[in-house]
Amino acid sequence: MKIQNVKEQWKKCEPEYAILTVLLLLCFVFGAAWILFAPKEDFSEDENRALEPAPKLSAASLLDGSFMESVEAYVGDHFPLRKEFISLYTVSQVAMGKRDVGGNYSTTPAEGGVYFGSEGHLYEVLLPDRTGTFEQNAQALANFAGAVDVPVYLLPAPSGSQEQGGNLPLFAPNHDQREELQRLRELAGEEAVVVNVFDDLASINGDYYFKTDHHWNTFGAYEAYEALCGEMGITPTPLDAYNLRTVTQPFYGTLYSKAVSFFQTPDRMYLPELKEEQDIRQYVNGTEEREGIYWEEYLEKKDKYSVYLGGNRGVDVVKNFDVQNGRKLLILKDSYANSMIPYLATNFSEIHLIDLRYYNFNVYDYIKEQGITDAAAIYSVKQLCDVSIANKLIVR
Amino acid sequence: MIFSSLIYLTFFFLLVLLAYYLVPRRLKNGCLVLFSLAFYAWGEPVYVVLMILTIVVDYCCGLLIGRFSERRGAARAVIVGNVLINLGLLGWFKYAGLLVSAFDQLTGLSVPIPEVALPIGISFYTFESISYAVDVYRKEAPPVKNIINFATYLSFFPHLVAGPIVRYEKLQAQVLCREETLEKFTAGMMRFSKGLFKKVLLANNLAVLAERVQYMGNPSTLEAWMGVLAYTFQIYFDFSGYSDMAIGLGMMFGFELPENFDHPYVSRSVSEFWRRWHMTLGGWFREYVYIPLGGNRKGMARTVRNLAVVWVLTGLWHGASWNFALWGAYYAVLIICERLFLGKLLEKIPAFFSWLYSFVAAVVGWAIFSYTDVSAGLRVIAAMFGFAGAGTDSLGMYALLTYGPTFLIAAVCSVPAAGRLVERLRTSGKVGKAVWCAGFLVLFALSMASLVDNSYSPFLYAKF
Repeated sequence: MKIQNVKEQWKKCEPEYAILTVLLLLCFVFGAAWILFAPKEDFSEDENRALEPAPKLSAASLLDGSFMESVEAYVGDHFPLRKEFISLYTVSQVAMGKRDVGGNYSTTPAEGGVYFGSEGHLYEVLLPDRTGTFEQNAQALANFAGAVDVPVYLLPAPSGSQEQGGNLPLFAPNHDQREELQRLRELAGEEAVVVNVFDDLASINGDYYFKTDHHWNTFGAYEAYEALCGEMGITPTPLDAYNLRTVTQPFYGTLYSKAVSFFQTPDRMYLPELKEEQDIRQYVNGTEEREGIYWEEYLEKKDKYSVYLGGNRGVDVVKNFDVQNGRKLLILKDSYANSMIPYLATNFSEIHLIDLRYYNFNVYDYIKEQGITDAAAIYSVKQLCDVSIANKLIVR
Repeated sequence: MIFSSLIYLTFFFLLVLLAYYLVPRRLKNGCLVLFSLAFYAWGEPVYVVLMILTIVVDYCCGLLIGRFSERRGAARAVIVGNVLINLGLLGWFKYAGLLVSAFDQLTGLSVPIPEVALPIGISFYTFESISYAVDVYRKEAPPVKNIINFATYLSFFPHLVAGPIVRYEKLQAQVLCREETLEKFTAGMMRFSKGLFKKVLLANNLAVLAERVQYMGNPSTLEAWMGVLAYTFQIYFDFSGYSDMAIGLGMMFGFELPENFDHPYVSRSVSEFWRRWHMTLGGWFREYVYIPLGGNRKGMARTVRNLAVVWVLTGLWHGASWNFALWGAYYAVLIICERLFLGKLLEKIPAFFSWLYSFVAAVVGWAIFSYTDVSAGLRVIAAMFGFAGAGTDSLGMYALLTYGPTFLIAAVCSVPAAGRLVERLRTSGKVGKAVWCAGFLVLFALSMASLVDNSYSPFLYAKF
């Protein structure tokens, strides 16, 4: 169209259409300019993942479509006002009557998302496992128990939403993790002791879970520790042998990351510290020695739960030089076990922590080589449903 | 690429508009073709070759049919060849897996099932190719001399991947000559936004509930209704939203694409539903299948046969799986019944009951449509009418409670009165205009929020 016509045409438009059209196009131009020229962050603490780096164009990446995927991810990851938009989305969902966000039932495994519970609590939406992962994992743990010569204890950790069902939104459907507990008992049979902490952690006894994180809190970890000791025939160290240090506020955990909003009240986190200090050291990857088991640097970051042992890796060894009983405990675990270590470390000379997701050696050889005397598997039920560890436990 | 994505809105959209309005008139179609192929290649970097091949073959066939305009025998041979090529491609890419597995089941042989990825939009552009050849053959439109103009018709990105299916005869004049005006441009932007809101704010939201009910399986009566109703509104707002976006985009480039949806859920018969649902597909089947088969002019028996053929094909067009064929057959039965006796009855009973019949018929149809596993779909329908499962359960109640407002908005938005009210607000003086604009901007912000949220994927496994 000719320039002189534009003025004339402008008059024919509906004025509000014209204004909004200009406004929207300006928004898109701003978005494009921001993505192209604004300084980029490479890591999203909220999501605990690296953000998409600038896409690299090549013939191969163009032909297999990976270049396009990378561009789309890049635009999404570096969009202006990203966190504000996401919070706005959460708020609008809640305003529309939703009581859960973040669900995606078309992925494998399906992602249930997060419930907004009462008292500022967030909870995982629990779903039945449709992939068969739990069955394989449970069978593998039972086989493991049968194949080793040391006593084996299996401790499935229930999720907060399992234990605090009363706090869930009205009528909120939730899968019952006792089904997995029961199945694990059946498969383990006589080979292993299944430690039942479902009743101990129920909400009538107290709040054993973080409000904004999927893990149990310090008190929940202590309950699980007590229950495990009971089955092992060990006298647990009493909780009042510890000072509970409040860590740097505010704490927003993993569930908050799935349900980012303006209205969430921050969480609290306590670290148990022995009143009478003991000489406890951590050997990272089995070798690199550290004083104690707390990684204070994580308290300044978002991922505060990693203060325990500095997160997860293939092998960690925790030695207590003030315990001379010679008992060596092997723990196959996910991160739920990490917050039990401050307690368990007072009962064993050595604790060997193996996270099978990152461990690529033969567990059975490890047990023989290290002279392990007791073995435990501490896993959240949800983790056993979602991620397969079965192939790492094949008896060789 | 899809319209409701950040990459489209912030980059592709701006670039194509800028390029289109900067190049001189004679290059505008070429510009559209270039961007349309890029748009297609974004999602199908390899199959874009297939798209180009289709363009070249159909263009040549069109020329040949034009050349043979006096020799009908030769023209007929070309058009039969052309239709066979197009349907052959569609058949291979879309139905090979289904046909071979059916063959294996029937014969007990184990011919390996070919694994071919379905090229995006092939069902749409194949039908448009056929419409071109047939329209030229029938002399309803002249063949295109310039391949760029033909490519503009076939590959025009707004309608390329999900319709509307535009008959060549309807679009040919616009390809050659059209006028872009600011009036059309701004109105097109509004129409596009309306489609975006439908897709992002309603369809995507309802999809989560529909998928959740499908994931859980064996629903109670209430849960089955919640899930299938969610799907009923999801597919309407998804598809009609996409059509709105396409029509709006067309306007921004000076085109006038045909309407595709006209409030189907207010229909008072199933036949009316299909005159309001995916109108361009219905039109295509009427024009190129139903009428050539003899339509309704050769006695009732032929009419019934023709209806059955058209509806089963319509069903299968939606996907290569038996539930779609069943869905088509289901509509064939309903529409034949309406043609035979039900239609007259529906006119006599109170409007509410004829609406209820049509709406429930559509909802039941979506249950068949949305479950690829036919027996699972039938179980859900049984549950809806109290023949399977419990009356209610927690997911049913929870869905009623947490999706109640969404359902209400979806229902209101699917009747014509809603649009009229919004239009009245916009044209009712300064205050009304201000409220309308504010509402529009809120919906826009929420849509952007939802699109950004899609890109947000907490990676938390490392911590578990």
